[in-house]
Amino acid sequence: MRILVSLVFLISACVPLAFGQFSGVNVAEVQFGKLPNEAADPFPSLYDRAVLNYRYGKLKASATIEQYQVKYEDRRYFDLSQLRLGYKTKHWDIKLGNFYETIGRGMAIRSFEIPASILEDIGFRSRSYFHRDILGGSAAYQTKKWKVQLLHGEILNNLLPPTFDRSDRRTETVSGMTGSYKISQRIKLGANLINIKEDNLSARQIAGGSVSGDIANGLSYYVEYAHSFSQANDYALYAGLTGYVGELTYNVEYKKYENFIIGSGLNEPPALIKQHTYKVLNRSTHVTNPLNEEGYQIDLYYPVGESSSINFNHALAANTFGATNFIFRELFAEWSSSLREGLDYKIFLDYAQDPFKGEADRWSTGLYVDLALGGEMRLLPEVEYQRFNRFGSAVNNQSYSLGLHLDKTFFVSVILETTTDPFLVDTGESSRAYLGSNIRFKPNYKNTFQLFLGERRGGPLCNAGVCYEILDFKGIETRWTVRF
Amino acid sequence: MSKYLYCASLVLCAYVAMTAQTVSDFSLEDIDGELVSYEELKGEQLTVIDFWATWCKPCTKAMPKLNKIYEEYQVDGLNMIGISCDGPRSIAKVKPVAKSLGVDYAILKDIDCEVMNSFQFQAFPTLIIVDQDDEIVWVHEGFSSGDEELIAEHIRELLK
Repeated sequence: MRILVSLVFLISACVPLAFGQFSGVNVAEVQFGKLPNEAADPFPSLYDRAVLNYRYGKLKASATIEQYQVKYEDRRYFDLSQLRLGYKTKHWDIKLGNFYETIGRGMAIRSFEIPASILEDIGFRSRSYFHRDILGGSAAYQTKKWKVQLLHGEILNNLLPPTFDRSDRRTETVSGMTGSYKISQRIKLGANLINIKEDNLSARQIAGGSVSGDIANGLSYYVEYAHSFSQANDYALYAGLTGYVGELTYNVEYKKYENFIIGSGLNEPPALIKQHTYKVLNRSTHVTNPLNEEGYQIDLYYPVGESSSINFNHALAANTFGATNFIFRELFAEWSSSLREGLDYKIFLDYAQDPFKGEADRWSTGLYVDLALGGEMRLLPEVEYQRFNRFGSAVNNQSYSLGLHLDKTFFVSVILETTTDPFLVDTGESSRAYLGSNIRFKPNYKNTFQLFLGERRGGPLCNAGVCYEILDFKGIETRWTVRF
Repeated sequence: MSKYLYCASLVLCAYVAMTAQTVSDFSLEDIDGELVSYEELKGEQLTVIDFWATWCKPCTKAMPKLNKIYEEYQVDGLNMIGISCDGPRSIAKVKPVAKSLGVDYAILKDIDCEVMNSFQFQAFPTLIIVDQDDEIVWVHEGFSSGDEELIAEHIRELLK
């Protein structure tokens, strides 16, 4: 009888599974090292994140298990960090549990995850996945003409690692409704109403609206405005005009944000600052301050033939703090092209003034080359140089990298970064160098092995539109990403 | 007997885990603001989905080459869908960049990158080929010169 019951249970449990689908990804990162200036000896640690998905028709269930194991008890944890259930059809999108949501251009709500990014804060020194989700529920219904959505949940404050209790990490509750209606190709209207409540504090209500569409063939506009009811002078305005003439793409955007940080940072209004892929420029990215910022961005992109392109970007952002104005200005130009078949290159030149950081006349330039050596082998030399004045002293940042793709599965590179920045250079020294090497082996898309050895420079990093701080590291780090 | 049951469940679960991932229907806005679904766009034989972003150089380098592949194999029942994962910072550039690159296939906007994240892909660009049964039959990450030949070769193989 027991056998019969077991068989019935097995069949009833597994038959739906067989018609459904399991998938998942696991990222395991082992480090042996420390912060370069840390007094402690190098120590081993393991960070692991497993995401398990099960889909059956239009239903999807997911669970995320995260852990950090290290000898320091106050830093380690084992956490079931996400659980979610979703139902998605052509018209309905229902989410329960942990979910991500962006409303409009992120002015009122932008929750996100930065794939493969692990966050480590200097204060807590615990490592966790870099994401900001909402724990609750969302229901959306959409047709070709209109969309309406309701959501409610607790927002994750990701500055606090999973070593903190859930009640400490999720002190804010958001409730909202949003909708849009497309009148014609020229006009689409959007509206949203958000209520944010933080434990022991009064609620804050935000109302917003947007209008967007095509003015003419090749010319589109988008305007969004949000206002806080509870505080009269809190608002955010974004307006953008984008278009193309022949192959020339242009993009002109304007922003004005006044006291518009919602909760612990649930929103992220459009930055209007270019996110560079070059190391020295990415690190210098001006971080938009929704408390007080006004500015614009102009971006031009022109592909020349099949293998060349020009990109020009100009951004200005003004911040006023008390009686002081800080005006950030940046001019960027990039040319990428091919000299011949198998020899591609990119060159950039950037000039910026960043008084908020005390960086005057910041010049940056660099050259990236991609040279085919025969077969699948490619050589990638990269050079970047940056110079600016900070309070009368000249500061240089340089980056040299030499990468080699042996074939499509194996890549190795050596990176040398140097700086004369007094904030980073040891007392009595005139410069500081960071030398490291990366090896990546990717036998198939399901498995990726990475190894870092040496010293890595930290600092600000912008990834997928989100800027955050990463720490220096000295030691060995291996990462294995597996999908199944 | 319980050992056999345990082994059987393991084998069954292993089989389930080994089954190819499939694409389930999703709806996103295209660059003209029209809501379109995967079911409406998928090709009769194959569907190529390219996950890209305007700030990703290899992505924009690949797109004119993908467009040529699309033009060549469209008559054989292939359709191509580009899904932009640009967030609020750069989503405004999606339409003009796609237009200036001369892309003729459908470009959809996914500001939260939900579709790509649902497959656990992490690299840009990631290109997947989906068959008539919605099974993902090939995945290609990154793009460098010559990859267009590799992609076309797989399409030819799968169209046979």
